[in-house]
Amino acid sequence: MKNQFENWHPLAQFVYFVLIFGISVFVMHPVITGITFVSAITLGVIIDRKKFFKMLFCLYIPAIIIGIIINPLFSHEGVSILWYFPDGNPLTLESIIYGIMSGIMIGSIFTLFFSFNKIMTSDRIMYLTGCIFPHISLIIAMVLRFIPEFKYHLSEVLNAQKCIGKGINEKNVFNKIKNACAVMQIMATWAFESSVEKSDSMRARGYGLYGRSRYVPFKITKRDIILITAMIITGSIVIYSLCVGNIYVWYYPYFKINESGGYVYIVYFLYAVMSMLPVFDILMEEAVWKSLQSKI
Amino acid sequence: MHYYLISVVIIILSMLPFLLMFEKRRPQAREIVLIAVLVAITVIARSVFFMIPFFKPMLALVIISGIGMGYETGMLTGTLSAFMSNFIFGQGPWTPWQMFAMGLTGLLAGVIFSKKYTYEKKKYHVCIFGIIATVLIYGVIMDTASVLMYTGEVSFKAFMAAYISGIPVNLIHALSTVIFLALLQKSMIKKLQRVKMKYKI
Amino acid sequence: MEVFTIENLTFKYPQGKNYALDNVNLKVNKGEFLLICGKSGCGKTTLIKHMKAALAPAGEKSGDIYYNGTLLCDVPERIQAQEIGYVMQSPDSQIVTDKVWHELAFGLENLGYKNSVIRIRVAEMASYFGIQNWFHKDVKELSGGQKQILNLASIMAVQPEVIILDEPTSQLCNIAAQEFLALLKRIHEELGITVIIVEHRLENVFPMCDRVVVMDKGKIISSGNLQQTIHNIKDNEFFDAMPVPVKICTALGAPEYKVPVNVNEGRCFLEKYMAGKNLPKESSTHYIGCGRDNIIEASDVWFRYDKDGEDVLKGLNLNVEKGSLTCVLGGNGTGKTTMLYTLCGLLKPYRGKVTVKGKNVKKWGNGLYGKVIGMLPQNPTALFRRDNVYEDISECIIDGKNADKKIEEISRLLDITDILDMHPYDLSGGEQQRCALAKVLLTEPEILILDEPTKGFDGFHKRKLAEIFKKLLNDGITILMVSHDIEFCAEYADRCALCFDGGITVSGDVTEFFSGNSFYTTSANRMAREYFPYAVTAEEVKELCITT
Repeated sequence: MKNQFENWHPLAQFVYFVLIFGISVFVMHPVITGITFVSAITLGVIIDRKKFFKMLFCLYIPAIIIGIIINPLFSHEGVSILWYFPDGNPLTLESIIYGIMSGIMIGSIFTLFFSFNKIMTSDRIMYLTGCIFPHISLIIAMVLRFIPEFKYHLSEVLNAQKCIGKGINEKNVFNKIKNACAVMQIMATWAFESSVEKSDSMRARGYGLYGRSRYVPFKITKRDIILITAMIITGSIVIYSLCVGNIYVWYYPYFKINESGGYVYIVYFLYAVMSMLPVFDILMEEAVWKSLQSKI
Repeated sequence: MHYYLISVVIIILSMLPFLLMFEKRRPQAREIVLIAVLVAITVIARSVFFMIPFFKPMLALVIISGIGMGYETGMLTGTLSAFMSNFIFGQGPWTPWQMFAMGLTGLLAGVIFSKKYTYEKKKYHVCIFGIIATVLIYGVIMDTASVLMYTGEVSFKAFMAAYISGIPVNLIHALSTVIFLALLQKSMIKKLQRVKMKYKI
Repeated sequence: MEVFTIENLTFKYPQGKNYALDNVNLKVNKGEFLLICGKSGCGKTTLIKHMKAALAPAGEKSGDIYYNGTLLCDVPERIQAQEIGYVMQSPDSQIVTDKVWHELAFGLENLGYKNSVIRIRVAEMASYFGIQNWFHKDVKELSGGQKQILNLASIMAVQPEVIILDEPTSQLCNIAAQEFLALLKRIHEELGITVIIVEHRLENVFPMCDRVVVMDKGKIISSGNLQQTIHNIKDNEFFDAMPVPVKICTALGAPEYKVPVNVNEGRCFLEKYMAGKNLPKESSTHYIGCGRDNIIEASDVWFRYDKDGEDVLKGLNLNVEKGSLTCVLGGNGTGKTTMLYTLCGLLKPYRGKVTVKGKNVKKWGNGLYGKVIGMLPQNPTALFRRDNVYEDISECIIDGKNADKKIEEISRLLDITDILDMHPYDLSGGEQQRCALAKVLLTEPEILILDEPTKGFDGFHKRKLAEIFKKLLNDGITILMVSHDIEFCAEYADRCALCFDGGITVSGDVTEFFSGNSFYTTSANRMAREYFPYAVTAEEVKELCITT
């Protein structure tokens, strides 16, 4: 089922991901990073629960653990010494806190990429790259066309080669590499030669004339504009407070975080709302559906 | 984590001029098709050799396209192959780094070899370049990336640890690049030249 | 008014020995449906490529081509791109982008149309061609026929005046080809667009065109409407490529300029012709091969690609007799190719057993290939690796002794001696196929398996292929092929089988097989079945009619 986030205009999705990625990588503030982590996981779960949990256990949790362990091993700054490593270096409380924070941050980046890969489908990426690089965006479209075509031909080649006794399922590794190289050569020859006809077809259809335009299958709606404006305003407020120093964090030499107050709470709240925007949108739409159905 | 952000921004800025230059000169149909074909072949190559562990022919193919078609095509093939293969296997924080490392490899291969390449004279040079590029360019860049990704701290020790622990993997990768270059550079470059003739480039 | 006027066009390829086009004069009228045909290599494709400057091949050229009264080279590229549409042979290689909608918009983008205009045009085209159901699909999900329709639609989106088609249906199965031609006819009739089509498969396209141009060795040898064409080329060797009813009825002395061109007209003619004649006693020449050993046996074979996928083979049973030419017929998507791969051991069935020479395929392992089974892939380029044919072929020699002699023998057998030093990709499709066949035969197989060997080829190459098959059969090689080329199978096969829904529905020797079917049979049989139910080829019908 298509969720509401997928229906956003690619530009809105892009702004969302850039802001979240940017802010979460820019600062490792416990509250900000925590908010990112929670919203990234919620978003992942809502988008594709089964696959997300699979990835979470196979990839993300190990990455988080590595992130947590690595820092104390290499960083020995900080004033609260807990223990000494055999080589004489200290293990400090600050480096452990830092490690945990960086683990959480790595986790949130990975989970954000999970949603990114699900949401930013090929036509969306092509649209976005096409805004600045129209030709490269066309190349991407063509690569996406060629890969399945080449894969099909590859299977043909593998079968044909196998049938003349040059398969790549040989037991001998040397023969295996040799036969695989032959397959590569056959594939490359075919691909290069067939490219001539492709470029003919492009030129026959007027590629290369001056003033090429670009067809955009997405329509920007009022909703998208409101979303983008809202995200940019909240994002700027958060970044501003990070830069000016209303919100800060020190890990070394000792852990220190900005004092909380009315203004800071507002910024936290704004960031939370912004990072949860897609989640709210999806949930709201589902609620609307349910209420519509129950009325019938 | 500032370092990661800053370095990614620098990487993107350093690739930008090349990409914009390519856009600005309005490439012809045959160039676009050929780059797309090279990228697709590079991405597909991964699945031809998947049953031979550690054998990754992508870099070798990028080097070959740099030699055969010049630095610009080499750079674009490298950058886009990294991007497109991550498209299939999933993008991640490593994507810009991979794009940069592979693009740089293709670019250098083109700058160094494309002008005066003959198989008889340059085959060993190319193989040596393959080793250097795999270990010193691709390996070092990707190891740097993982340090910046995982720790966010820039300490000499962390970098050294990453580079040293990366040596075995990088060496195996280099070996596969060399084997591939040794076995295929002659025929692949010849095929590219034939296509160039056909296109009258 | 003429759309194209070609005056004294002469052209020679840089490496060519002869003129590809020799003093060609041709006028194409507006709103015409023009068919250009001829033997392969007669220059028909070269001619139509010259009608579009972007595709004109390089070489020595003299003579003029006018488009709407102006020299073609003076017509701006933009106008050419807009007004002259060109559809190529292979459905795959002309598609540029990955999505159907993007492909439809591609030409419009190139011409710089605004988004709002493109949106309307794309919607229009999708509705007109019935694409809306697969509008959002990836191109990779489409069938060959759909791809070709997409190509036509994306050309039509820029609203051309003329469309030029280069053997657009040669890679399609019969049903998809007819669907495509029907669309083309509709475009021609409803929109008044000039259509120039090159084809070698005349059966379907011949009756629907206004004018036919026949070429031979770079020259136009005939130009006129259907009946004139039949009259003009009656004595030419190309007459053999004419639709079956035309061939039979001409041989039976149909009145000049009133020769039947389709099966229905043919039946009416035959009715008059046979009136009052005594029908001979039913006789069917049964294939005498029963009792030979089976070299391949498949019993109750089940196969599917994914665990959760649908079954592609559902209890397939097939026996291939040693030393016979067995053809498996069937439409697209009935599992023919899957069946072939299963018989070669390339795919493993999850139930049932395939035995080759009495030994289970699973136990053969890699020993099956070379010496036992050889498979010619549908696409011969799947075997070309080197830069010239000789090197490429010699790669397949099993033991080095007498290598040169073996290559010489095989190249004489397959008639490729003259092209041994060429690059495989510089050859024509037929030559490529024979070179690939040489590679396969050099592995000295006992069983030769072919996947659609006649797809996209004209009658002359098919006959050559049949001759090769005969020689191979004489050498004791068993041949198994899948095809949807009914005419070819009827003429040359020993045994036929019909593949449907993942199994073999009917099988038997040729005459038995075809006379048993009433739709899925040759047009000769459809035409004459009331009188000669056992005659399946045009030759047989002709002979029987004359002798009665």
